[in-house]
Amino acid sequence: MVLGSAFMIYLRILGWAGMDQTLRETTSRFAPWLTGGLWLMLATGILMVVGEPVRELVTFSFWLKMSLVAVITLIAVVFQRSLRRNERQWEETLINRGSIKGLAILTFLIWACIIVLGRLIAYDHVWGSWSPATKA
Amino acid sequence: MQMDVASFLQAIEMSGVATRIRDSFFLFPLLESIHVLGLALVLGTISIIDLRLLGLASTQRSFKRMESDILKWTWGAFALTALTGALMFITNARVYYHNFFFRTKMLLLVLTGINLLVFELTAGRTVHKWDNAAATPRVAKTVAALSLAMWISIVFMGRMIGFTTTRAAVVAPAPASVDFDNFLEGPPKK
Repeated sequence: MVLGSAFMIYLRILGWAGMDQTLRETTSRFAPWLTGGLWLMLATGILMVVGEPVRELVTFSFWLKMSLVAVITLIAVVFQRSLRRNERQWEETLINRGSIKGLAILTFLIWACIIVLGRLIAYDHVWGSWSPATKA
Repeated sequence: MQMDVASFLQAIEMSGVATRIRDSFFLFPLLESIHVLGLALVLGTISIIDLRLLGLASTQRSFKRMESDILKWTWGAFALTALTGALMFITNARVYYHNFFFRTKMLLLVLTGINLLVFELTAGRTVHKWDNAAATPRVAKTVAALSLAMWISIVFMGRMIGFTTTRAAVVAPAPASVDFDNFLEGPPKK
């Protein structure tokens, strides 16, 4: 849900899909799903941490993942706010800028890292001595 | 015949690729991660199409336009999950093959294929009539609802395969060196 929605916004920024819609139309279609999905994941994520606090909190992957989640949430908030305030500028010039497109790809890669790190919580030994779990 | 399947499973399990993945420290987790990334994109993009068919979202957009925009990404992501899934399967083929959740998942995947075929043969043929309409044929709505239900079940089954085929998760006690009272104060001082 979250990744799918974010993906559609990236594709629109990159000009690879949804070109019959403006950027604003695309974000108003998908951003609510992104926000809703994030809240849902926050809720279920908290339940998982409460359920197995040791498994989650004593991993390097978990804390790195949470940092990236914070970064990506911040990017999303800044982007949406900026789009709301400077809608015309976004539609006419910003969206054609290489740097903005690069940023879109970079943010998608952050999402990919978040997913990989989430899975790595179960395999924290890959971090060797960086993982607090291996210091036992 | 049963013997043939068993020896086939054993053979792929013993193959060089499977051994390589099993012996590696990080290959299996990496495959799992790519699998998750791919499935999130498959489910995310399919939901967009299904919700359009159900008349719940993007109803003002041309269905054909959305389909040609989105489905190529869905297929690409699906190929990624199929490839990584197959690579994970061969590392422990005999166990996965007999696992209830694995079998159910494969059955559901076949059913989603049939579901897609039904759509293409019915509502898909009359798409020019309802392409720009918010209301879609009843068969399209049914297909979309089934698709959503099956894909969510597929993700659930996949997660259950992981829970039921690997060694039982033992809740390890906290390492003695971790001080929960001062958890954010950095590593314990010796």
